[in-house]
Amino acid sequence: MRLISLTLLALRRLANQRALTACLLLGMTVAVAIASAIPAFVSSAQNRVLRRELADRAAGQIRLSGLAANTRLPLTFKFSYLGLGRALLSYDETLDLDAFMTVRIAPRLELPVVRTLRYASTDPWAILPANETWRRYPLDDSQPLGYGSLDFITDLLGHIDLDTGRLPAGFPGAPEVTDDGEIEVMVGRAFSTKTGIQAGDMISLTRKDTVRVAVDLKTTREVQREYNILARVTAIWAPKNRNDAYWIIRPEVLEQDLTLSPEMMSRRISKIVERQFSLMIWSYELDDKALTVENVAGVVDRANALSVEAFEKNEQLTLNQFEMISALRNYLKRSQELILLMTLFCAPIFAVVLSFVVLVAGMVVRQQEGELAILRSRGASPLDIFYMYAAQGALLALIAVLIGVPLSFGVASLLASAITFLQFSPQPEWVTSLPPVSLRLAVAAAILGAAATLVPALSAARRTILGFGAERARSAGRPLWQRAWLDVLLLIPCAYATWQLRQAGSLVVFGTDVSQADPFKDPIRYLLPILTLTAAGLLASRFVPRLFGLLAALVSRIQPLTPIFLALRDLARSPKDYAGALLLLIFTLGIAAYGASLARTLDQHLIDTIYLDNGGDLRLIEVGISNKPDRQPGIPGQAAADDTEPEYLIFEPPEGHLEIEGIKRYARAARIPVRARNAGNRRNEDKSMLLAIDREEFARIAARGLRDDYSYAPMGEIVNRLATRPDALLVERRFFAENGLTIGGKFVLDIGDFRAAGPVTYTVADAFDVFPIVAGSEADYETGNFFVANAAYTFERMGKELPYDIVAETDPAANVEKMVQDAQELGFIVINAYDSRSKILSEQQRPERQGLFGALTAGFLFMTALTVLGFAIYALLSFRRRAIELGVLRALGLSEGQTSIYVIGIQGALTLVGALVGTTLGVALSYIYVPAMQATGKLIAPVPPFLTRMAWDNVALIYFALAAALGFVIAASLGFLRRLRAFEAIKLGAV
Amino acid sequence: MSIAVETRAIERAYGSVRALRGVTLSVPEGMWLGVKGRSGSGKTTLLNCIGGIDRPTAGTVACFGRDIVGMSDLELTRWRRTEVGFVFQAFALMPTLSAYENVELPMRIAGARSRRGRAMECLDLVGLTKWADHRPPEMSGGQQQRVAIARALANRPKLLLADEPTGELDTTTSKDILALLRRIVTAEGITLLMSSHDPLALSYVDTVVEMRDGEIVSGLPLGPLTAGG
Ligand SMILES: Nc1ncnc2c1ncn2[C@@H]1O[C@H](COP(=O)(O)OP(=O)(O)OP(=O)(O)O)[C@@H](O)[C@H]1O
Ligand SMILES: [Mg+2]
Repeated sequence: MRLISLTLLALRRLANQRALTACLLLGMTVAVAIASAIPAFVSSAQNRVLRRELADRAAGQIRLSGLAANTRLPLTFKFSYLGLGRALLSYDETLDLDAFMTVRIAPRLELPVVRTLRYASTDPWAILPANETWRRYPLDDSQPLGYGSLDFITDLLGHIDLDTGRLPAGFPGAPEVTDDGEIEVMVGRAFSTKTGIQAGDMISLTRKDTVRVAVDLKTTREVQREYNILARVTAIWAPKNRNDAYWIIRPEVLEQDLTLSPEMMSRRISKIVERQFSLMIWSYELDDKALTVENVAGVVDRANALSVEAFEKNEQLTLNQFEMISALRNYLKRSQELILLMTLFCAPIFAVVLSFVVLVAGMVVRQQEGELAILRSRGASPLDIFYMYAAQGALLALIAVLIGVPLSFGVASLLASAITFLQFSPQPEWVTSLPPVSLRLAVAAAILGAAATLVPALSAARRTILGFGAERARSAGRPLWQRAWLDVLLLIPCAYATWQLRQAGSLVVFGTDVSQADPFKDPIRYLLPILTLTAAGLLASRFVPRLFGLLAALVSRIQPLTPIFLALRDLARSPKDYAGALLLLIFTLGIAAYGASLARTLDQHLIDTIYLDNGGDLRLIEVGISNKPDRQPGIPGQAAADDTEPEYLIFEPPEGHLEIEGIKRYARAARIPVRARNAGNRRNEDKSMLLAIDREEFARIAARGLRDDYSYAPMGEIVNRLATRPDALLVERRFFAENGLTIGGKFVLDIGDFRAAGPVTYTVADAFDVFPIVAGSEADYETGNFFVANAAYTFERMGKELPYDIVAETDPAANVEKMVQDAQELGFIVINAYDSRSKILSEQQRPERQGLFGALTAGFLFMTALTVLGFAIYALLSFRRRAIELGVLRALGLSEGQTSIYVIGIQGALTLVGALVGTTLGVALSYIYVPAMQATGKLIAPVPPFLTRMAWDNVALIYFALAAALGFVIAASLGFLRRLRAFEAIKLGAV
Repeated sequence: MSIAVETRAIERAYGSVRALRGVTLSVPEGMWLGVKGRSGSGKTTLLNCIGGIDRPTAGTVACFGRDIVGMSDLELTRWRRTEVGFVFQAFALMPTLSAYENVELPMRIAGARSRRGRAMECLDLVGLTKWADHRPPEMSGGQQQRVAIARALANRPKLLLADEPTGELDTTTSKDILALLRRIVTAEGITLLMSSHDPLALSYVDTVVEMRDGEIVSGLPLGPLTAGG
């Protein structure tokens, strides 16, 4: 009964303070929406990571492979039996394996199977023309036309066209297989073209086999057996579409084989040779739409389990889907990183939202203080009051969940649509489903929000009846955390951890040595900035009142500034009044400045990394033509051993590149494997590399990738050192120091050419830490040293040109595919092309990156909105409380204008100081912590190092937002105060 | 003896409620005038109109010969700064300011120089020198009201308006305050208009007028009276 009446009372009180209740509700709703949106976004991003991971596998490198760009690689589990050597299977054994696959494996694949393909083939047979075909092959009867396996594959008919002839017996529409009829096969067009075999021809198949036969009970002996089959080629087939995902064996391979029907295989072939099956493949194409973020781990686990089971069944039976499993594993790792990053980036946002709730709840309680006092005086126990607030909080939490959860779709979509900080993609990504964890988190957030409203209620419940004066006097005291020195207590461990982080580059948490690249074991690293900001913000807000006092003292003697003086003095005197709003402001600005800088740094780092690795806008990997024809280009090592003439490569003159539309300038950059001769104490040097460049053009083209912190002096100067002498050599600084080199000293490199390795003597000219193309993000610094020299000198010393890359500056509007095509038409053999711009674009669109920036953006928007709102509420309420004071000031002779200035002064000074303190902390935080954030696993390359960049434009944006909001708040509070008649002198009898 | 406050047929209507219906009053300088009357009779309204924080709907108010009804809001504000001091029933001190700062506040607003001496003088006058650095919430009601009186005196106004200054105080404290006011009126020659319905308070005043329904019904001082009479 009592509880019910208390609940009703709580409801009534909520209804009485609609504006505040709405704000409270808003805060809690935002908390709920964020909490629920994050998992929704994460799961949608994970989904995209997953699809992308699968798609990347398909897309491979840049469109040079000849595969159509839209080729879909299905999610397939391919088991194969590869009977190497003697492990040939009999037909019965193939049936046994097939039964095993069908019963034990296929039903347990976790995902629905959309297509099962089975393939079986024999060891190759030698194919010779048979008697009646003989006359067409008069020359050499001992040489087979080729070697081909007998094979069959399910569903073949749907994917081929018959050039000529009819299907072999046993296929639908063809004659039945009979025990004494001809053995009928078909061959692919490629084979037919190569050998001249045509439909209707007879062929003779021969195969030799060693069989172990029993001599007596104890001994066995190997005997050679020869088998012969006569078969008729009834048809020549060709694949309908070579790129079809159906071809689990490349059609080019199948075309060389002799394909027949399964019946022919079982009734005829298997009778002739007992053991001959060497390759079987079971391919299960799974429904990749059924592959979800939730079941990936299960699929991977199951794949492992099945592969073990298959191996136990037969050691030759393996699951050979490394690529896909590793894609999935890669996905799992990335998605875990994504979750972690999101959590880390969203935690502070969440903290700000909650502190907003506490702030507003505190205001609500204050507003209700009078009533509370009355309740207490009428005998309500603290428990009753606590219960009342709990009921109030529970109700708000319920409404917040009801509104916040649907809202979270929008928030998640917002997160998903961010390309980079504060920039959204024109085609928004709509998030349309919520994972179950969303709801749980939403409820948790609502409960947390409700609990946050109870914080101020708790202390209010304990309080006794106090009047206006006493209440205002209390706000003159210090907040609890200041009295308890919590800020300092928190700052000490933060400072220690920071010191350690900066010393070691990584944190040792709880005595365990953690690997630098594993963010899961190093969460403090990511939380540290937030903790430090909290501590520093608290500490700073301790001094803010003193700052106001100081400012007040400064303007104290200036008569026209009296209202400002009064405002500053009031701020100096009542810190507890605005501590919440101030902290909110400091945190928001701090986190926003830090987050924006982190985002900017990440963005720039991506660009830096790509330009560092590519050297310029475009890098073409080209090869020369070998002087030994008929070999594959670029792989000269294939030259036959009996060649006497050394092989070398012929290059088209590189000037031709300038004819390509879109290429503005080019430079050669040869990556040459080398070995440093006088580097004594070096470990394995397998990856050592010399970059031989056209210095002048290269320096211009690579300017974008030559950051000045890549060496001790600006990189432009370092590169120019190559101009001092033709044999100038740049070395790594580390190497320079380790080997006690001197500038001007001679240095010999063994140029590791495959054939004519030769020593080339250089003169050490200068040193670098990081260098485009060779010593970039993918360089193996553990096992390699890197050198840079002039291409002309190096080639001259080698007596020939070595394969080089072309680094080019291109027109941003130029089409890369077109340029590559043009280059090929000009005779350049381009085997790969790296386009920095499109790489940047595609990296920027990686879901995990977008997640990061989405979180930063959303956090920024929410925090700014909530801060402004919190500030507005604070301002309105505080002035409502001050209405009497304002009236008294008016009665004492402050004019209306002066009173307005007083009001503006209080808000303006508070906002300005809060914003400045917050920004200062954010900037400091950026410089201290951003470099340490580089060790974020796979997402961020470790080289080049992070160069903290302040996103001043974004910070300015925050200031604009704040200024606009402040203007609005001030206008609103002036209007509000006017309505309250607070600008009229207080009348006698009105107090 | 000159006239400090002179009102002519002032009326004040709040919509249909006529709080003052033609009050004509003239108060000589240096007089402590008590205004009594039942609740709602218009005492506070009358003081407000005289102090320039409310405007009569009709009639004129002249203080020390200056018409204040015709002044603009800004002029009135400036006038209030130096010419008149208010003592509120509920003290209305600034809670974040010390006693000293509260007293100094009107001088600061008025732009007075060398405030310290005068503020301490006023605090001394009300006997609170030792409490100068204390804030209102740390003080008793009587002390707070004394600070309020010191504040009202800070700019040396010639007119003091006090609306039930002892309304929230107990008898003993009230007596202290009233004795203090008496001292001030006598020593500084200030004209004091005080409303009250407390017989004790009214026993300290020079003259009492009684109001009923917005009109003065008795004890109307018609001509100049001798202060302290
Ligand atoms: N702001 C206002 N709006 C409407 N009516 C008002 C206002 N102020 C005063 N009144 C009315 O004017 C009349 C006189 O009020 P006033 O405050 O002057 O009385 P009072 O004599 O001071 O009463 P008390 O002894 O209770 O203080 C009352 O009827 C009151 O209701
Ligand atoms: Mg009154």
